[in-house]
Amino acid sequence: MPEIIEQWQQGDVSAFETLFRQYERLVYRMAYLITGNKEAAENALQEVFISVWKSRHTYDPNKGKLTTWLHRITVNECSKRKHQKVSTTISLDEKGIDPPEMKRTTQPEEVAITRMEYERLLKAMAALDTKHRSVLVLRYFNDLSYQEIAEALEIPLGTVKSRLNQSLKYLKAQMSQGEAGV
Amino acid sequence: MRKEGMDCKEICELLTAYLDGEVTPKEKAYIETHLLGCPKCRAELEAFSATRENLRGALTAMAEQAALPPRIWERIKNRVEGEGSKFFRWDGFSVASLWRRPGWKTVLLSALGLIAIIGFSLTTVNVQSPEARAASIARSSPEVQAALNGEELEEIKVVTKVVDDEGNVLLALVQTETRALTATVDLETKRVTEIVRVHVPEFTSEDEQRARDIATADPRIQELLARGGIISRISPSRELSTFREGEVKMGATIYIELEGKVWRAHVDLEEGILRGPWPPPSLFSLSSVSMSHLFYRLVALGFIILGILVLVGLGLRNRLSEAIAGVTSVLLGIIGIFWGMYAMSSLPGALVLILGTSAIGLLIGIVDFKRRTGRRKTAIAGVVICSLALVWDIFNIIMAFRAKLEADRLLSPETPSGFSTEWVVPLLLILVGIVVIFLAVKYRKQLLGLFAAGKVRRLATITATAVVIIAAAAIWQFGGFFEVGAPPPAPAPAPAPEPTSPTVEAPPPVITPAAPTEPTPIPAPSLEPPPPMPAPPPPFERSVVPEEARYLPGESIDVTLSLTNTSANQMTLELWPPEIRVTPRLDWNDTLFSTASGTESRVMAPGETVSLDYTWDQKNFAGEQVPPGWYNILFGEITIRYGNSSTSFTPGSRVLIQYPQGATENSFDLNQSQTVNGITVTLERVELTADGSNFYFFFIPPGYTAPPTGHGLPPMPPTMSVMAKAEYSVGGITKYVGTAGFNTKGDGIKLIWGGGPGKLDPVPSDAQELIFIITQLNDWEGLWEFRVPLE
Repeated sequence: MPEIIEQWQQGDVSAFETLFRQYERLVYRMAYLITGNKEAAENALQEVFISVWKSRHTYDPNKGKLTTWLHRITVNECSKRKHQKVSTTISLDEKGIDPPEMKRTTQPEEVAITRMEYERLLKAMAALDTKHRSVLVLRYFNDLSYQEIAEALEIPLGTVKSRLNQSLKYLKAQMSQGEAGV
Repeated sequence: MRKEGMDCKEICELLTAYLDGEVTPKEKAYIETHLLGCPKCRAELEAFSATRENLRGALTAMAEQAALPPRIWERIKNRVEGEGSKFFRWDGFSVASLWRRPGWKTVLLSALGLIAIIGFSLTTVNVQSPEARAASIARSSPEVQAALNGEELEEIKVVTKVVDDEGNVLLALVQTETRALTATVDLETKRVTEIVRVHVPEFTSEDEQRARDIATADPRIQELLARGGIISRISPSRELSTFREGEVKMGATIYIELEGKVWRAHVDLEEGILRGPWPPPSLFSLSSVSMSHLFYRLVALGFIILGILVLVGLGLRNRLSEAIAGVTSVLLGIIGIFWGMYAMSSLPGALVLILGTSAIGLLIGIVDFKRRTGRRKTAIAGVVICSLALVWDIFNIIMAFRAKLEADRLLSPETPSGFSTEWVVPLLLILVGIVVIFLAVKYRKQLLGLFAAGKVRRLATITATAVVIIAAAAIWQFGGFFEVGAPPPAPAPAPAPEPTSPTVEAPPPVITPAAPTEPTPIPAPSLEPPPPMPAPPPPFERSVVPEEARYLPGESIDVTLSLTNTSANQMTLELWPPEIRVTPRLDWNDTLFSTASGTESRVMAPGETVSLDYTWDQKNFAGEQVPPGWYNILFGEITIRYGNSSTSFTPGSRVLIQYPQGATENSFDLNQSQTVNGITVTLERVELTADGSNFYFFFIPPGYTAPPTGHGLPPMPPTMSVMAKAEYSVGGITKYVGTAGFNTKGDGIKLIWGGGPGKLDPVPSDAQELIFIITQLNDWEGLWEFRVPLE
């Protein structure tokens, strides 16, 4: 891996392709979760890797993981698009989605409930701004520690903590309101 | 209750972190204790936990739903490979990608600025300085060739230059040690507009003596001598600005060796004023104006390069910059060492720059060392060299301060040593510089952070570039930028002469005095005691009685020399009694009679007067009566030692041996003309008095044209001058009368021998005829002989 990184930094396009193949899924998913829009995520994916190529000299392997660097670029790219319309049509779908595997063992009825819950959650999340959504995605999708989030976004640890708490509190409130409504 | 509520609110803020395992053990214990006794918070925690779990699931589900879009890689690849042609790409770098990086824009802008400044300067200066261009014009000018009369061109040297407002350059071209031309070169028309022949007086041993007297009378020089200084050399210097008037003002430069260093002072022989002493020049003495311009330009260049290197080193964060940073640090260290040597040339404002260079180099070296993981050798070398440079610079600055203080004390003996106000500004600058450097080192992380943030970094680098370029341009253009702390009023440490009256010191440039081989009557050597000096008088008085007197042939001529010690200490007269010499008045080197000097020293107590009587019987070495005329009786040279210093001088008396039959006292307006080889010289007037004689001639030199007028200027001096020598004979005795003085008159030149009382010998009353022969008139062939009937 260090060889690939070195070759990429020296301008080797095939090494760059290897990196792209390795991380395209991560970047695309993150972008999709943050923007809530497939088209925006596709654009973001492209721009993130163009940016990764152009600024390959600014990446210092001694300073941090490549993924941290990628997270940062992706969040930045998505933030650029925040003025674009954030999708409000989040839905787990049309064709129907498969809930995560861990839920597979549960009862179909439960699955249905879970699906509804998910959709409501995602809708609520769409109302949040990019800053808060980014933190939520990095923590609960990418599974980064608070410290890693702070490094990736170049924000203080306390800010990570408060953003997450605010976001979760907001989502919790939305969910309980929904429940009350039902 | 209230307390509990607060706790619950606090707990609520921490629940997400608690669930994420991101609380401290202390917080964890606190939360868990609280939860045990607070059902409300327990419920809250459950809700948080559920939301959190649901969110995880929802995000994962949503992510899984998003299939990767196709052909993204192809699009990226196209854009990546279309980024600039292969030609401009090397090892992954491309011109386009370089340009996209803000640091590189700075570098390129700096380089462009540098090129612009150099280009601008080259076009305005036209590669050569005006002086150099004028010199080359003068060298190839037919007018100059003509004025040289076939003398070797190699002997012409440009001594100095004076640029006037009209863009004319006045050059002094020296032919021999006593002859020179001045040529005015119009740089616009590239023509020599004016040539004036200049008589350069010889620097006689008497001039040297007088210079020594004036210098040793100065208390500042006395202090140098008292501290063990020795006058190692006295060399002539000529005020070249006076070349314009056709007669060169003489001066002398005194070199005093003290503790292996050479101090200098300048003596104006006409005014009897001493300037200086100037402290020993530094290793890189910047004595001439053009040199200091060069220096400032070098500084400006260094500044630009420094700026670029710093910006490259700090402004960029890529591999290239890391590679450069170490080298930058090393380079700055070397520049710092080099500039340290300039500390001695007392450019106070530049001290900040001198220190700053090394300090910035050190900073870059440290930063480079810290951030690099690989090769650290250059960074270490940079740190070491910059540290040495800093120590060296500080040492040099301290030495410069000490030398400066010493010089100040000597220059103004009344002020006790200490910091003079001129040093306040540079001192403040140094303090500010040190504070800035200290702060920069302390907050380097924050500073580097500035460079890291995109917009700020761009702004900072562009601002820094602008500042660097403006500063460099200012230094380049105005040079004196650094002389914030004005140099002391009297002498700059390197005595940069005012451009309008530059002084030529003999040994380095051109005019080197030879031992006097021929009489030089003009100007007549002065026997008067030195004119009033600005400094306190020497601690003794001297007199010669009579200073000037008339005698008949055969009469005894009694002269008394008196020296009085007016100081409170004893003095020593060396080799007492002094040699006494008799010479013709116009020819000091033709010794007619002399007595040998003594070999003993004579001590003079305070207040004591030592007298020496001498009687001349009007006879020469052969015991023959000398013919009537003017003579000098000279004592010395006399050397008086007092304390650790000494002074030497040659006092004398002027005596006229009159004709027993009396002198002709008459004036004639003759208007007698002689034409030889087409050159007509007219003897206009002869004035004969009991004390001497004067001869006035007029002639129009060939090729001489009326001075041009124009541009609203006053009429210029003649375009040509003359060198004329003559002799005359009366009653079979031939007398040399030396070189003529001259004046312009109408469309020609007026030559004057005598011209004042008592210069040329008188003419006996019984003489029938006087034959006056002009033996040399420039370099034209011929003798112009005039017979003046005296009855």
